[in-house]
Amino acid sequence: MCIAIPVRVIEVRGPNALVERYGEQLEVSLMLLGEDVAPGDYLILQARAWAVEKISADAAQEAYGLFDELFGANDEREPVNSAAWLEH
Amino acid sequence: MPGWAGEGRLQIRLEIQRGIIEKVTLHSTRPVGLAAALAGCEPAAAINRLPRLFSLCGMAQTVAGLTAVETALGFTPAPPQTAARHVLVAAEALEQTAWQLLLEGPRCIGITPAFETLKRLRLLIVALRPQLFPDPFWNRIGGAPLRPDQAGLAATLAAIAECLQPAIWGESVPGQPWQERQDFDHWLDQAATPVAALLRRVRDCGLADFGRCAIPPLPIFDPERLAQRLAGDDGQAFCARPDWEGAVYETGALARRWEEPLIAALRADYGNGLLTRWAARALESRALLAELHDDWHQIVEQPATTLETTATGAGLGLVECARGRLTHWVDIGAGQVRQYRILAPTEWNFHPDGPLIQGLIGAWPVQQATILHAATLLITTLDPCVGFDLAIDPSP
Repeated sequence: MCIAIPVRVIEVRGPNALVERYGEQLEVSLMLLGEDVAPGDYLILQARAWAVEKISADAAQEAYGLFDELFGANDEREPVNSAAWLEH
Repeated sequence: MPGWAGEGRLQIRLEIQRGIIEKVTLHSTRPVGLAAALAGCEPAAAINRLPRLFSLCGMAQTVAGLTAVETALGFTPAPPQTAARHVLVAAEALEQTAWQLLLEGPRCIGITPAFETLKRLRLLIVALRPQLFPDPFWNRIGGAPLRPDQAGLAATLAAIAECLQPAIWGESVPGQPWQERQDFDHWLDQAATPVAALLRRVRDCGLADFGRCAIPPLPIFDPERLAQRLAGDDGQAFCARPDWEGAVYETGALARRWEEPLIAALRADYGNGLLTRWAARALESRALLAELHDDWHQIVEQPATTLETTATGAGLGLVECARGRLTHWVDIGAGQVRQYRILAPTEWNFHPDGPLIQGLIGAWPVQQATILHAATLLITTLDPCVGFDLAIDPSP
């Protein structure tokens, strides 16, 4: 399923931006974004490479809270499978 | 953050022997089972979480969720509400279809993506929601206030068609290349669009039938039996690796366009190979535009509906999104979600017995050097919704 974890802009580099989430830094393209971007803004990426939406800080924090709960959860709910090897 | 996997990624390795793909290994870190996080929520809270979890197909996920919850509560929304929601889903699917046709596909063959078209398309599609539902909380169980801005919608939909037509089919298209095989062949030879260039490259490199396999299109399942599969103890396993009476199916653009005359003609020559698949994607863009046009005319003003969400029941919500059929199932009791399951289209298409892996095994590109391109084009058109790494052993 197409989950998309927001990223925070660290630096704008022309048509690209250096972004970060959960300690991981990525350089992504801003070519498909129809609005200006500045450090501190939050973005949604497609395919980890293309910024497709700018979202508010509140929306980003809400999403981080949800992903923290999901991937940091250690309760009795059904587990989230994070890896599977298939050989054919 | 224990267990952190992010969006996940696919790592696909092809083992070549005597010029044939003998073995395919797929390592997935895509998280499966995220819907379990919705258990314990009130139904409205679960619906609100869906677009945060799945922001790239947030409309489809939200509408599938609303349908599942409303079915569980024994409620059927009025036709205009259903039509308005379908406009949002179809528009999102159109954007994702255009993404494949104008960005990912062209990148596979070294053509500059149509950035400006995609950027404009996105702005137009974002404009549709407030033209239907002025209230930002359009995802209300039972139905949000619907106040269609008829003039605005007409203008936006016309602009979407004007934006896409030149990029996909071309400014002036002789004949009907989306219907007749001879018109399609002529268009393929003549058209200057990035989509025509992509399909031409597939044909001219001898890759038209690359990835051909015998996987049939996903049929409509009996809803009661489908709900039973999702609800059972092995429901989570079914969502991770689905089958129906032991058979695996393909879902998505090709499955939906399977019986259209052009696709049937291409299947006769190339099976479900690359040329047929990418042609189906192009046809899908026209079909989605037509659906948007048809649905828009059914939408009339309607007040909000308030539903009590304390009833007990289970319900299914099925939505056709860009990557295929998305299925939500929810079980509600005492005003809370007891169980939530999502069967995503990617689980069908990237299934070990599904169209990607079965299409790759035994494939032999005419030119060995094209194997990387061919496999990339096949993965891209099946669209796993996450990034992927492709390795070939031995490397070409």
